[in-house]
Amino acid sequence: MIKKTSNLVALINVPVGTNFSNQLITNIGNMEDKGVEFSINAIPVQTKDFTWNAEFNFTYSTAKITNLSVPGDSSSFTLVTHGGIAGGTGGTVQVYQVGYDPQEFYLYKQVYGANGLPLEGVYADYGRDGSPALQYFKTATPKIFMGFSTDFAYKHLSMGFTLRAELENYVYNNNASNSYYGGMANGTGFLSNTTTAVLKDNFVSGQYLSNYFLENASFLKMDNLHFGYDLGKVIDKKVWVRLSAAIQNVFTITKYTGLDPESPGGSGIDNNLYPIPRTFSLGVAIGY
Amino acid sequence: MKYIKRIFLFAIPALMLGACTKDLNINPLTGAVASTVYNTPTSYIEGLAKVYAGFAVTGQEGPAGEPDLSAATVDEGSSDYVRSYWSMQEYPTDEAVNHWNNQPGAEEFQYHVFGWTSSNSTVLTGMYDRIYFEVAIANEFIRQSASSILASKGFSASDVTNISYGRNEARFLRALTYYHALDLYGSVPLITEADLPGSFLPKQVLRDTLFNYIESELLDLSNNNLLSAPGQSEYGRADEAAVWTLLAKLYLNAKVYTGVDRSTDCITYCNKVINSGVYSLSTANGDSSYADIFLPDSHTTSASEIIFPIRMNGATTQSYGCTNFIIHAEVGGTMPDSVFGINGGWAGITTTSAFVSLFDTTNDKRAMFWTDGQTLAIPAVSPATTVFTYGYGVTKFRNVSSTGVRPYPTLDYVSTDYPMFRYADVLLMYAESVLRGGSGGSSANALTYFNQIRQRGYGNTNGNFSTTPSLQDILNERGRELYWEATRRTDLIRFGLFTTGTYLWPWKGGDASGTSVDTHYNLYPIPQTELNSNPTLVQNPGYN
Repeated sequence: MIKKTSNLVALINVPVGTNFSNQLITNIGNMEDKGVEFSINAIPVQTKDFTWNAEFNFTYSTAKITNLSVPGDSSSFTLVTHGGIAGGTGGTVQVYQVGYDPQEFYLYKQVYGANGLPLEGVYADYGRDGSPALQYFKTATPKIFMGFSTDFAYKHLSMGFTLRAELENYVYNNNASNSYYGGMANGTGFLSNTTTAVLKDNFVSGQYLSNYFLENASFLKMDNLHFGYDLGKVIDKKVWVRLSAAIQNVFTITKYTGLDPESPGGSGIDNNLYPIPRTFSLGVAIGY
Repeated sequence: MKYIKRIFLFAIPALMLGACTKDLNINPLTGAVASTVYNTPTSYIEGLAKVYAGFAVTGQEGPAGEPDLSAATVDEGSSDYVRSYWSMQEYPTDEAVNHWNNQPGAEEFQYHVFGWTSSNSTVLTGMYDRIYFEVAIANEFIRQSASSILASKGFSASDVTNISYGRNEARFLRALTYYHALDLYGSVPLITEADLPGSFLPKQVLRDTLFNYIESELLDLSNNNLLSAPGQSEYGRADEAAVWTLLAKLYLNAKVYTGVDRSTDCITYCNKVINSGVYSLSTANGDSSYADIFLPDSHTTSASEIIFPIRMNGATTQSYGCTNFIIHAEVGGTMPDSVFGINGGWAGITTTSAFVSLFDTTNDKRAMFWTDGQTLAIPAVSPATTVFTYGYGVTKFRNVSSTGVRPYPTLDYVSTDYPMFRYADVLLMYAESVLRGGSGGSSANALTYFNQIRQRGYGNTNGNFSTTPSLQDILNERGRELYWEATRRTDLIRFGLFTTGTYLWPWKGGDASGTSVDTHYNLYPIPQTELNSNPTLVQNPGYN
């Protein structure tokens, strides 16, 4: 199905001096979303002692900006950068541009040496003025969402889990881009801390706009795994007891090197320093 | 009964729908509009204060937060007016080199090596946006303080007088802002109070036209005595001397802006400042008199010299720009924070050997360099390899008073005023205009004024000249006297030395011993973001 949206609201550059700021929230922009989704609910097995049900859903969607001109002036065109990052002064890594996803990244293309490590400060495609060209890469929005949840029940036992996956979403690892040897020297004569990312790229100065830090954050997560045991009525058939155990955040399979591929939310920029905890819980429910 | 009920049910919605179409033009229920902002005499004074403050702060919350300009396109701290202007006037000269190596576009580095473009520097964009923000709020104040509008507000006669006077001050500040635009960008849009805020595409004007507009505004203020006589108004507010000094600057550089030499007019206005009898070089503190001008108590020790300061206060005027930027950025290496009255330097800026060689460092008290742990030579300037210890440090601006007191010791924001216009500059402009053939002055006076500056700088007459200085001497003296006060680029351009190979300094044009660059660099480009949002603009030659 295709959904077209017009008169989106966006913060765009306006000619300075015509108003009291350099950007104004304006009705501007058209966007087109295309996609397909379906879900399947099934109870594959249902007998006296054993029940198994499962649910699977799948979504594929892409979005594209189709127009960014100021209404009434089709010759004008605005390129709006967004996606501020930490470190350095005022850098942005994303852009709104016609023909691309709204969360498109806008970075320099890193050049790698013979040993596969990035060459610091060397980028592909320099402009006439000697500075590297910013290019469009990937987006923070996943193309595919999938979910699968299932429950088994056999006599007194029950068990279930939930899986979730997002594919083709990319994340700009701001924690890694903020780690460089030069950043450890802070003028007091002592060194400050940085993350282990610096050991991999060996950068001496900040290379915030390199696409080396743009990583594929596709993931498969098991959100939840739970078990239950129903003891039934005990103690003279007066009291029922049920035991349960659950694990939250069971595992995450991803190539992303940061802490959690989902932590940036929709923004695609990861500044998160705290890992997501894995929680184990046991429960006893008693009633009469 | 049933029919009546049904008629009611239909009629009521129909009536409501009818009422809907009338009230589509309503005032916003939240947010500020001019009629609610400018409604009491106090609010007008606040509005005028904002026009003044636009030079020192960047938003409604110090030091940052609630920025005037959207943080998505320009960083709030580095788009401060004086900071950006200072950067664009000092970095591409012999006076300053930046050593920060962590900027995403490494853009402060670009200035010294003449590598800037219309899109690789948020300082360039920030300055342009900040100039027009200042123009916009000045225009709004001027609009709202028109006599016809004030008459309808029912204020008292004395309030109307005060606000009308403030209107003249806003006109001066707007002329000053446009003067900076003229000097940096050349041909830019001219937006006045006649252009109401809205969605229109401002039209660019020729550099001559902008020059004429600024001149006409300032002449109107001066000829009709619209601002107070020198020394009569509250310190920090614009007065006639500020208007005359700005006119002198405009005329001194008129050959660059319009192709026509106006040295005579420059002398006329320098004489008005000199002959007012109000100003003199500050000499009260012996050998420390020069240094005192750049300390937080300059309004007490050096008011006789400072014609128009941008006032700063560590508690009430906080930003990451203006003198807060200059003082923090100049401190690094082994320079002790306590001497400068701050909590930690940003280790950003040093100077070149070419500049140091202008001084008799033993005898000239104005040679304020930090050499401990610093090398005179600068082996590298690229962000990957440069460090603060390359080049001598500069100790000119400090946040510790002439009596050794740091104001607001618990705050890391400075209280040192930025001297936008200074009497020493006027004396040097007079001398230069006489040497350039302007009439209305004499070379005897030129020599006298020149020696006054030398004498104050040396603390004795040993540095005085016995014959009239040459133009090159004037340029060098401007370097020694006015360094780090954002005039160097303009001066070098006027002398034809900014882009040519006659005067080379370390890393000019990206070469270790300096090299000439193309003449189109005498003007900065209009930022690409502006060209994108206003397709009627034409870029300055040589860019893109």
